[in-house]
Order: sequence, then C-alpha cells, then structure tokens
Amino acid sequence: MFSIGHDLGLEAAVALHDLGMTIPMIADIRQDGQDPALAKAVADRKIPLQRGWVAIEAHGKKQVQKVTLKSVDGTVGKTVDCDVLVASAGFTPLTGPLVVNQAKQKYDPHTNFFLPTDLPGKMHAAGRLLGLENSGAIEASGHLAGLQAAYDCERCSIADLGEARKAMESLPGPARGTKLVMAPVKGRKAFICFDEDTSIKNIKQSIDKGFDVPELIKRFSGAGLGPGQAGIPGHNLPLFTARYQAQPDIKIRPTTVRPPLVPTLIATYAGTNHTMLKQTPIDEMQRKDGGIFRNIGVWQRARYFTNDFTSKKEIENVRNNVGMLDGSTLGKFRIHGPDALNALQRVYVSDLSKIKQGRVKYTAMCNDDGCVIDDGVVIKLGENDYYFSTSTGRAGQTIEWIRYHTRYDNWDFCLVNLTDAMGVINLSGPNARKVLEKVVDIDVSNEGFGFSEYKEFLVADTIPVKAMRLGFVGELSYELHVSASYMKALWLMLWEAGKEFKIQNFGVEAQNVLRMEKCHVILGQESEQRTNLLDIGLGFLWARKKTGYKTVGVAALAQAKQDNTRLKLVGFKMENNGRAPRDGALIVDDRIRGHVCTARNSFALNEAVGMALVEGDMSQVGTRLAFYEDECNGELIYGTVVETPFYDPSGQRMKM
Amino acid sequence: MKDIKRYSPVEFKVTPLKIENRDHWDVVLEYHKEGDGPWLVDLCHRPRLDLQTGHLDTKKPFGITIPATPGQSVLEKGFLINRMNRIQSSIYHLGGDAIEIPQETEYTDVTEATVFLAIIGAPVFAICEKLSSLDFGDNTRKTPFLLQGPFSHVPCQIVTLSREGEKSGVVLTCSRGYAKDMVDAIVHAGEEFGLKPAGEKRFTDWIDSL
Repeated sequence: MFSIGHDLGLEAAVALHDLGMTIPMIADIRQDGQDPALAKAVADRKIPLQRGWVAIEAHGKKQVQKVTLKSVDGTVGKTVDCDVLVASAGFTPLTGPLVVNQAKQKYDPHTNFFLPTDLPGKMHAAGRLLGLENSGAIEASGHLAGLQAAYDCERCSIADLGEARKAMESLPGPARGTKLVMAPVKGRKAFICFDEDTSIKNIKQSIDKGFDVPELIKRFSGAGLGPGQAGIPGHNLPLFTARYQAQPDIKIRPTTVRPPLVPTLIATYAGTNHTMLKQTPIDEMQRKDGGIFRNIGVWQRARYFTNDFTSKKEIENVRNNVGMLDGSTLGKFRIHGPDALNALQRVYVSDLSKIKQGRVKYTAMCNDDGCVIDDGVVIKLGENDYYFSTSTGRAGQTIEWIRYHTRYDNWDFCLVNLTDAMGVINLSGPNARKVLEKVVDIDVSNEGFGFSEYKEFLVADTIPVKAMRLGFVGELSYELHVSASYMKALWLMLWEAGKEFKIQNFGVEAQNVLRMEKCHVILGQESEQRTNLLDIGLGFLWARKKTGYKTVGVAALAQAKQDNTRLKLVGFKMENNGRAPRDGALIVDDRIRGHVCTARNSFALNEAVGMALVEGDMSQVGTRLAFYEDECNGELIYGTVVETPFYDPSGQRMKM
Repeated sequence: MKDIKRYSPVEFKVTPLKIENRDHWDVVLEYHKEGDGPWLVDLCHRPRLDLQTGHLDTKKPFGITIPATPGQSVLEKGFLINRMNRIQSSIYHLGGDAIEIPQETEYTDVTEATVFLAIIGAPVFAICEKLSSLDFGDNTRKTPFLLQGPFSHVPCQIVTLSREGEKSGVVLTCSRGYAKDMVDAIVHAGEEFGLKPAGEKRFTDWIDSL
C-alpha cells in the first residue's frame, strides 16, 4: 500500500510492481498535478490510484496487516489488507542555506512551496535549493549559477548568460507540491512537529490564546524548535495557521530558519535507537563489587561504592590505607614522527622539549583565548615518540584539535588514539607501595621509583605496564596503564596482594573529594568557558620563555596576566563549622560576585571546604564570602577565603 | 606461573563448545547451536595495526602494497589492509599464525583499542541497514572496500569483504568501550534474520572461501 504526495512515490510504486510486489492501491494526497507519464505507467499496471486520499491508520502489532485510507476531506474511507505501507509526503525545497544567508522566502501558490526570492548580491542558487526536481533543469540551473558567479568575477559575457537563461526557460520549473500534508484523523493526534510532539490541536490552542502568527506559535507550542530545525513544521505550520484563520495565500509567511541545517534522519523517527555508552574493561567487576554507576560523557563510571553518597569510607580508606580506582576513561594518545614535538609545543603551554625520558610532565592546553581546555601528562617514549593523556571529556576531540592547530605547517607527525586500548588503575594511599611491590619485580621504593617518574615493566613476565608516580588525590599513588585485555588480570592481582591491607575500591566521587582537599582542579568543574590558565592558578605550567612555536593561547595569556578584574579560583572554609554550600551556589554581595565550583564536608580536615571562582578583588585570603543557594529563601551561609591547598600543603604525602 | 588471561570486551550469552588458548586469550572456536547463519563473530583477539606516515606510498606492510585510494582495501596473505586517508592505513590480521609486529615506529598495535566483529551471511546488508545509513552493499565498488562512519551512532570502520549471497559479510571495528552496546545493537537488529553468535572457525572458513 502506498500513501504518497509526490511523483517519486508513483515512480517507486511502478518500480516495486515491476520487481514483483503486489500493490493494491496508491493513495496520493494530491488532487491533481501528477506526472502524466507516471500516472499512465500506474494505470498500465492496473494499480488503482486514488487522488486526494491518504493513509490515516496502519493496523497490526509487529507488522502491518491492513491500512485505513480516507479522502482528504474525511468523507469517504476504506480499509485494505496489506503487509507493507510505503509513506512519503514529498519534498520541500532546501531553501535553508539561502535563507540563513539573508535571502527572502515567499509562498508560491502555484507550487505550494516557499521559494527563495531576493537573493543577496553575488549569491546564486541552483537545483533543489530553488525547488527544481527535473534533472535537466537542475543541471541547467547549475550551469547558469556557475556562469553568474563567473560574470561576477568578470569571467563571463552577457551573451553566455543570456543563452544559459534561455536554456533554463525551456525546462520545467519548480515541481508542484502538496499544499498541506495533514491526514483527516478525527479524535486522534495529528502531529505537525515530530521533534517536539506538537499536534494540530496544540496549534489551534495557541491561536485561540492569541498567538496567531507562526513566529509566536512556534515559541509558544515548541513546533519547529527541535533538532529537525523545522524540517516538517517549517512548511506545514504557516499553511495550517493561514487555513485555520481563513487567511488568503498572500498572508502566508514562513518562520525564520536558523542553523544548523541538519536534516532529521528517518531512523530518528522509525529506526531502533540503542543507547550507546562505553564501558571500561572492568565494568562488570566494579558492578559486582557494589559500584553505583553514573553516565559521565560517553562513559559509564562507578561513582560510589556504598549508598552513603558522601563516600566517607572510600575517602578515609585512601587517606589512611590503600584503594583502587578504575581510571580507564582518561584520554590516552601516542604521537610520533619527525614533527611530533613541534605539534605538542603548539598545543601545550609548557616547554616539552625539556622532558626527560623516565619523567612525567603535567601540562595543559588552552584555546586561542587562553582559556584552559585540557590538562594531562606527557611522557617521552623515545626519539620523536610521545605518550600523553587528556581528560576524559576531551579525548574525543584531541586529534582534531591538534590537527586543526597545525593545519598550515605541513608537519610530519602521526597521532593514534589509545584511549580504549589502555585500562588505568589508580593505586592510592599510604599502603599503595606495599601492595605494588608484591606484584611487580622492579624497585618501587621512593628512591627506585620517585614522584613524577615513569617506568615500563612486565608484571609476571607477561603484562606490559606503563606506570607513573602521580598524586592527584594527594597520597602516594601509582597510575598503572595496562592493555585493556589484561586490565582485569592485573586488577585481580593487585586486589589479591592488597587483601592483607583490606584494600577497597573507591569511586569518582571519593576521588573528587580527595583531589578537592588538595585543590587539584578538574577542568569543567573548577573552570568554565571563560576561565584561563592563570585564573585557576595553573600559570606555573606556562613556559614564558618558549618561543617559535606559536603556542595556542599564549598571546591571550600575555594580555590577561595584568588583568585583575578576572575571576580567580580560591579556596574557602565555612564559618562556625557550617556545612558546605552546594556546587554551583552563587557568591553574592549586592550583586553576583562568583560561584562555588566544588565544596564538600572534608573528613580529613573535619570541616567544610571548597573552591570557588570569584572576582579578583575578592580573592585575597581572609575575604568573607556569602553563598546564595537555590531555594534558600534569602538565608545566606558564609565562608572565608583561605590559603590552599587545604590538605598536606607541603605535598609530603604524595612524595613519601 | 599463575595462568594470566586476556579478556575480550565481547561476551555472548551462549555456551562455547570448543575453546583454544592463544597468547593468553580464550578464543572460542565454536559455540553451541550456531545455526545456519547469519553469524556474528568476536574477533577482538585478532591483531590490528595502525600504520601512519607521511610517506605511506613507500611502505609495504608484510610485503603487501597499500591501496592508493582512501576507501580501498586489499585482502592478501590473511591480512586486510585498508587505506583510510592520505597518511593512514589500518591493518587487520584475519587468518594464519601469530605475527611479528613490525618494529618501525610508524606502526602502532591497536588490537586493544577497538572491538572487532564480523557479520556473515546473506542478510548481512539488511541487518546493517537497520543500524547505519552507509551503503555496505554498494555494487559500484569493488570488494573489499572500507567505509568510515556511524554504525549504531558510533564512529566505525566497516569493510565489506563480499556481497555474494551466502558469502556476504563485513568486518567492523569501533572503540572497544562500546563493545557491549554495539553487540547488543547488532544482535537486536539481526534477531529477525536469525543472527547467532559463532566461533572463530566459522569466520576462518568464510575467509578461506573468499
């Protein structure tokens, strides 16, 4: 069964008939205007063609069994047995790219389309942008548009243009479409916008409330405001609005088109839609261990391991004993080739020419405005060969970022995304060394494997490990990067080795509190779009003497370093041993002066602490901060700016 | 030494019939009730390499000439080599004994970076059509050929190795972390066609038949 509104529907019916499909009927919503040749082809095949009819209901559960059809005026109908329903309302001209570039649209009552008019100077359009569907006309329009552009550049004569115009005139113009695609479904919902579930009834309600022009209706009802960018309601809404108010064609005005001009895939409406999320190599084990998972970007991560969402036990276990965190979601990359270092120097603010093999260099990337977008570590594996990590959220964009910022240099370097190839185990806590030394054959003493050092070794002569001494949570920590397929095996070996110390899992929330006590930032949490490297106290990473690499963002940083009006990241403690304000709470006096980034009740410090971005004049130690939270009814809570970090200021614990 | 195992990110909910231990992987050669096809095969243990250099034309991995045009692939000596772009090729080792990874720095072992699956059988393109708008059965292109784009919304490399009836089949890689959701999506899409998990033997027989 076909329910169509376009000649291509007739063409498809003829083709499928010739391939052996039995077609009981074609319902064409158009009363007239069918291509005579196609209409004849349909008739020759003895396929009934019902003009001015449309399918209003498909029956069946797992598969279509029959379809009910009605005339567009709703007066006549019938139900026909079938096992496939082919439905198509037809095309509307793709005027979006022209309109967003300032062309006007006007309703054309002959074709029933909104067609572009008044193209700006030196803009020339062709093909379906103009509503053309005849292949000869499309080709000729392209030829004409090309000549017009050449004429603008004084590379074409008037005579040539005239000939091309003449050729166009003899070919079919824009195809005629359906004035309004709407099925006569009494008592049931007829949708005008599938993105926002806006029905004809909603449009009528909007008009009845006084929102009587399409621009207002779409804002009130949501029609056309979804990701389809009015692909369907852009045509139907103005037409229905005019019809409902009995307006003449001249009053029909389209709504404004805005980018992105991305069409809605039919799969969005009709296809299966699986949620696609990433899991780490030990996802199943973490769930069995009681992990409570949250979606973080494209990953699923264990955020807690008990129903106590303060994560007290996990935090105290890391501070006093030893814990393991699955950090596999970190971005991991290899960059190699003769210009690998040049590329790194372009995007990282530090001077990476000074990295020594066997050392870990913590550094950051900025955008052109000096705003910090990523941080991670870089390791030199060999000559022109580096391994580096990024934050979880930036991993998907890193290769494009580096390629984009080196696109004019013709540098020879290669980038490989190893994010999923390597699992990461964070073994942290004062007993971390005692656990690790039971599993590995290398010297892991502070002298043998010191802070900020990097080592490669085999565990049990089999599992290759890239190991780093880092201190994100502020304790003795080892970050073990291991091939994803071996991750489970290594985790279990460490777990077995840690049993005598009562090793425990810790999740993302515990890590969040532990690092917050050390005032180690998480980008996106302690920063926002306008926050630059200096604002959050990472200026020490910027190698000011590094020249010749056009490092992204340093020109802006150089300007910003004298600017005292910018937001600054500060640490604060709450007054009178009060509770921590909520993340995102505002800092106010007679106006908004900043906001809380992260704040928690610290078990190590036995008081509430946090980090906030505040205006420069409020960043001095001792400044009193007033916090305004959602639904606080005007009752503010107070804290004071203090020195940072809160925990182990000398950093002895992570270097022990 | 304690037996150390490598784990595939793919786990089918069926019982293995024959398993072989290979380089610490438990490779399932055959499952119970594999049926008559189509089949979904886990190939995560098969080595994959990334070859990147600005001088790709000078490289002959394993003695094989890399196709000149992005999107072209070649299947020779058990290796499938796919030209991805101007500077990059992916190499899949589909058959034969264990290989020595070339020591030149241009090669990176990316076996662990992706999930690697094969979908084999006559309805393979009907199954794929439910998950991607890419045309894996494009009869204007000579097999094998590479498509890079979304499959079940995830960026993938998909190589069509054959589009000849029962011999039709594709191999697919995407980020390893998506393994569970990708397998779920394919199994769901293939349900109406009788898609079943199969062991490596089914894949090896298929490759040998091409």
